[in-house]
Amino acid sequence: MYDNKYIHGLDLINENLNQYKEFVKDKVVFGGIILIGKILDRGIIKNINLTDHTLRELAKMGHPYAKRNPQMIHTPEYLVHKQSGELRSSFYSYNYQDYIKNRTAHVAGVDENKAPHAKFVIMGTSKMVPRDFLGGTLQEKAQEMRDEFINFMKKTRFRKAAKK
Amino acid sequence: MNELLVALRTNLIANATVRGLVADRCYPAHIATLPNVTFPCACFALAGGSLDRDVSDFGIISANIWAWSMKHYEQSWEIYNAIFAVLDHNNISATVGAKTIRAVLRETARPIQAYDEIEKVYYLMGTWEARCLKS
Repeated sequence: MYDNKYIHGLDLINENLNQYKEFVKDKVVFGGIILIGKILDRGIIKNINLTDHTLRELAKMGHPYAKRNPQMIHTPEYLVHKQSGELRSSFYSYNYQDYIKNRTAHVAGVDENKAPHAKFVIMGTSKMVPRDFLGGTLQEKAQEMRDEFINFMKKTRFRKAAKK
Repeated sequence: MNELLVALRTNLIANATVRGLVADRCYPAHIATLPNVTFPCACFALAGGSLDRDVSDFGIISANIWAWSMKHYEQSWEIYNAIFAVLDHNNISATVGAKTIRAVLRETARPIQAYDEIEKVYYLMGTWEARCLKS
């Protein structure tokens, strides 16, 4: 049978481990979330700021997102042209830490009060094809975000170990 | 992942509740790309995903599912809930040609609802994830 009193320094090791765990949870993971959140935000903003066709050009093409004449004019399909800039200005994002649920998250979305049409762009309508630029960008950037998060965690661990 | 669309449609219209609500009007494409649609109906479309780096027959695919009604939101919800009961955390499968696809689906985001003022249609869209294996 092992007993704590026979392992010298065990309390100190436990204390260090707990401190390290708290440090990782509070600072490192949150730092990683902020970092990869920026990647996602940049991707979404880029994807809703397409300027390769003007409104007039889209009309001339026969409204490529409409049911009467659906055409794929760009890849991926969920890109959105910048028109009034309403959608761009309705975009918001924030990071949060929920200590009760022990959860850290990055939230990105569009404010429906500022851009009431955003919902219809994402879901489509019976006459317009959907362009889910939020879900689409998340998928597009998922691998990059995952890699970036892993790199960030690795770097932080090494730096912490090096200081010791 | 055309096989996944086949599996979804086959399993949905095989369910008596779904069939009772929308008959065989479970379309594997968004409604705006379909000619002469009759309501109520359900639509589903794939929305990207990724294949496993090592085993390309395994993939995680995103899908959107819409429930459309000309009467009211309640009917849209009835359709969606019937679809939910068939798909959520259930195994579905279909054989297309020489390939059999097996998939487990789960809802990743609850539906958002909207009213199309021009067509006067009530609809919902839920987001799903399918873990698929082809063999």
